[in-house]
Amino acid sequence: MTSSLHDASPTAAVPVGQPAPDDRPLAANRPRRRLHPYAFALPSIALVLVFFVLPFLANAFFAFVQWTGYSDTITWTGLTNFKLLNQLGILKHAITVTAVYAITAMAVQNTVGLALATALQRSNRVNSLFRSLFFIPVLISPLAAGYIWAAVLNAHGPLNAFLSAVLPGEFHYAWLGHDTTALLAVASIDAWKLSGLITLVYIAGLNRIPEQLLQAATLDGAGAVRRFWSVKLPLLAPAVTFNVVVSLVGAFSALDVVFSTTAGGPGDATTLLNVAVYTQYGQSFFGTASALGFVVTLMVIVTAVPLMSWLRRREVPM
Amino acid sequence: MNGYRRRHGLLVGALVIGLTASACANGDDSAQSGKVADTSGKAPTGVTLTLWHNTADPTALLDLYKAYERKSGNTIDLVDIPADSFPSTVQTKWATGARPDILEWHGNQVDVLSLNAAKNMIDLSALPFVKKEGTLADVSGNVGGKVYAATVGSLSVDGIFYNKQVFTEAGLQPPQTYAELAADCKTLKAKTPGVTPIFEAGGSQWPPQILSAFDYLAESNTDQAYNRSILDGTAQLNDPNGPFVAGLKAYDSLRKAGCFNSDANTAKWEDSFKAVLSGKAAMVANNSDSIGLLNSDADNDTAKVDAAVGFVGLSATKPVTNYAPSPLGTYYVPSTGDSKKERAAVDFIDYITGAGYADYIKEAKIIPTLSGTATPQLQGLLQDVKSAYDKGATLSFNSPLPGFSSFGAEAQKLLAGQETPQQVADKMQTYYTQAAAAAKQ
Amino acid sequence: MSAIALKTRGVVRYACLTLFAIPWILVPFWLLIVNSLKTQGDASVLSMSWPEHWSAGANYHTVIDKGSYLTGLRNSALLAVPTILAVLLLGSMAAWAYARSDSRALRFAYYTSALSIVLPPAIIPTIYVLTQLGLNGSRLGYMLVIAGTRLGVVIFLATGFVRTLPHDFEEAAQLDGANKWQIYWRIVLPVLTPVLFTGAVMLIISVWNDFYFALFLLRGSQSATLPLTLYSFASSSTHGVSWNLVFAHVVLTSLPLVLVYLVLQRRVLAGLTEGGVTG
Repeated sequence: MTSSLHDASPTAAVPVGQPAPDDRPLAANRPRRRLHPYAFALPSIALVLVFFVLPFLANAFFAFVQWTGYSDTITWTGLTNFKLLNQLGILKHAITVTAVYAITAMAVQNTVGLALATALQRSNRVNSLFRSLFFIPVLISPLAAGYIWAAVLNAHGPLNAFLSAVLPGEFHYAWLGHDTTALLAVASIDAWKLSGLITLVYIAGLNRIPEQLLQAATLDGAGAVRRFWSVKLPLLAPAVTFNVVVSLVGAFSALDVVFSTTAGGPGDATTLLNVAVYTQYGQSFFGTASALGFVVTLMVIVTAVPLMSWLRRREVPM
Repeated sequence: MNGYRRRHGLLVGALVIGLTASACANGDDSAQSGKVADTSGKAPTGVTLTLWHNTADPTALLDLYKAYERKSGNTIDLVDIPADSFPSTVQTKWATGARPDILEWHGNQVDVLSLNAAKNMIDLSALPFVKKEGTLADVSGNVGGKVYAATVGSLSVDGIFYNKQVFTEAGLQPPQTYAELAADCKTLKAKTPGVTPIFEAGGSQWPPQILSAFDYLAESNTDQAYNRSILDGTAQLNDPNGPFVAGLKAYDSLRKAGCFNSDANTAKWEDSFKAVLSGKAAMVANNSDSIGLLNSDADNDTAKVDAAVGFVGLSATKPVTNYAPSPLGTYYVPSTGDSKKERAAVDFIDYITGAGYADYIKEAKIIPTLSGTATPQLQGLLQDVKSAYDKGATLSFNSPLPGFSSFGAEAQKLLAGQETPQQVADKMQTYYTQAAAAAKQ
Repeated sequence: MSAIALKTRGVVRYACLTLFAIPWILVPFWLLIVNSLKTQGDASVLSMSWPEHWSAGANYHTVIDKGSYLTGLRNSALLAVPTILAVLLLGSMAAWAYARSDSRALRFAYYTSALSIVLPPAIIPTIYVLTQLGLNGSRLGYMLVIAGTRLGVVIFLATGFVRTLPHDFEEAAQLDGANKWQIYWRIVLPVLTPVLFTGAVMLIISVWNDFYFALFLLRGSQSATLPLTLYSFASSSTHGVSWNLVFAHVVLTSLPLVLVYLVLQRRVLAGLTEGGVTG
């Protein structure tokens, strides 16, 4: 945990490192040294266990069985589901699509978020207005965001109207109708939705960077860009960690946006892993659906966990 | 890693296995397999029946539910299943053991099997509507000779919608074979250059299937000959000389000849009908369910639609239409173990196919699927559909074939020129084989 | 830097921001609102123009009437509020326990809870669990599942925060003879407020807009939440999408959170920018 950075926050109620008062009673006379409020965790443990862990493990089990709506029998089949999904190209394709989606969303969100944060770092009325404005997309549901942007990106929608006006000739490109652009578009819609939040997190991170460090850098002759890359960015690491994890998790659990824009199409261009799971459900193939869900889980563990620890290590303690 | 974790893991593992085992066991004894519809005694009143229904239900169906409520004194609790993800949502809910008292669902055999009807649905074969459905009862909601569904919604009939004025201008008769289709396309390009000969809506995922396969194979599927051959293995979808490949090839050559609209890959189903209504397109291959769209495009001036658009059946070498039972208006009665509700649900089936049927048909203005009810005054276009159907109609060959839900995406790829006809056929054969294996168990 | 240069930079910055805000915010939301006021035919053109033929009243009326808006609103509120409060309470309690203990068991529980943030939900087994408990399809079942899968966020944020507090932080109260509950309620909880506020904001947005769980766990159209009513409504036509109606529904569905936000704007932004997200 980044306890060190936290100390500078105005919200910390107790200053750290204050020397203990001299009239502290002798160790022997002290009542219990530490509190162990174990029981306080019980309700939470119960809920997480029953409603997260249990289904999660059961899903892992169902990934290795033959289970469809056609019959009530569930039989163990080992890796058959995965082999099937691989043979049909579903697995590989869904992984590729999800990876592209995740990277695009991460890139857009963090670029826009960081840029806006740098521009809106100071707290004045105009900046607050802008921060507020950019936060609105965070509030609406992903479904709603999908419907809105499906309209904006429509072949006869405002984006193309604008492009027709500035470019020679009529521009009626169907953004959501072609493989690559559909995927990039859907990922960007997701990014659009979250950018406002990412901006605020980066602002928080930027505000934590002590002025002295920046002033020292300026005195050393560092220009604005240099200051940004060598001083601000490393110290922003916790914010980056948070934002990258949020983007990644968002991409892996994305479903709503796809539902309201492309439904997995055109063809299977936007069939993310979760959408592919849903498609398997739609054919009554629950074993393979669980197998795909299992793959999502593995992918998240394999990418998010090392990424998080790598990012944590890069956080510069102060 | 350490003792705690291992113990934790074992405990949770045991819980999971126990849970799954009991869940599976529960699945077995809660439903009573092979149950036959109970029509004895008077139907109960004051019962609340849950009905999973498609949100795309036309008003006539919604009014039918209300009419039943009034007549029977029972209440229908409608559970909305969004149309866009209808099969996925129903099947997922179903997999969890949830059962409505009445289920609105597809009538295709593969869809009946996917819910394991033999075990989970009540056999309605003895009810009076089955005779009224005639041959429809053999293909809709039918598994193993037993009828599990009542179909009151109009059949979805595939064919070609054409713009009458464009055809008159070009001096053409509507096509009856694919050869004529190709020839017409050529003529149209010469005589009416501003008009798209055939408008394909690749952006909507399902329409390209119609011209590339369903229509072409209609004549091969008399008495379900073709799909039976696939099911029993005597033929394969990807037989290079088989009709499936031939149909895909015919479609591909239409594409190469420039018969399709330039934005075929991204145009939507709604666009295709606006085009054929206005005359920007000469033909659209689609089904009779779309007539409602045409009407609303013309602000419900059905006379205008009838004057502008006609309908014909088309297949490889003969004017044969193909049809499938619509998911809208096909109802099943799941076994819930609650005999009172089951009795009331059967009563619902009786009503919608009996006492309430005539008023429903009058309001819906569709071709009745049950005999014994006069066909109402249909709009001209629907009359065209009826005559095309009467001329020749077979069941859409994909109706009982598992794995065909993936065909939409493949047809799109063919349209986009991303795959060759043989490649598509090979893929569909793979999909079919895998799905059939999974379905057989 | 001279005052004029600073001012110019400021002006340039605001000009750029405004230019960026136009396509980023103004265009989509203007399109949304303006087309929700038009007739179906006009709206299907998807232009940014001001409505020629007003259909605002009819559109919004249809949404409220046929789009089950009020039901959705009522259910969303009934389900979201207690769930969020429960998650904040139980999560912060657990965070205190995790932060203050050396027990391996609790450390394992903490990591599991944190992991639940990133791992996707498994819907069918979840429903099996609910069925075993006799809660399938019920509102309580839905709330428990949401709580179980969202606790991770609060626990993660709050535990980190509590760990930064010195160990003898609660000691003074302990010496005074307060019991654990009093210590938690009077000492720990108030200190956690900024972190919980951040958590609450994220929870509200995610729980209020939840679609996936609601689709499978809520039975009957009487229990539908706002995202569900929107989705059902938007996919209900065999005649293709009526943009004017869909947009009207989107406006009404987004309205509650946006209104709450506008009222609490300053606090929300302050909480997030100064808050304990990254601390």
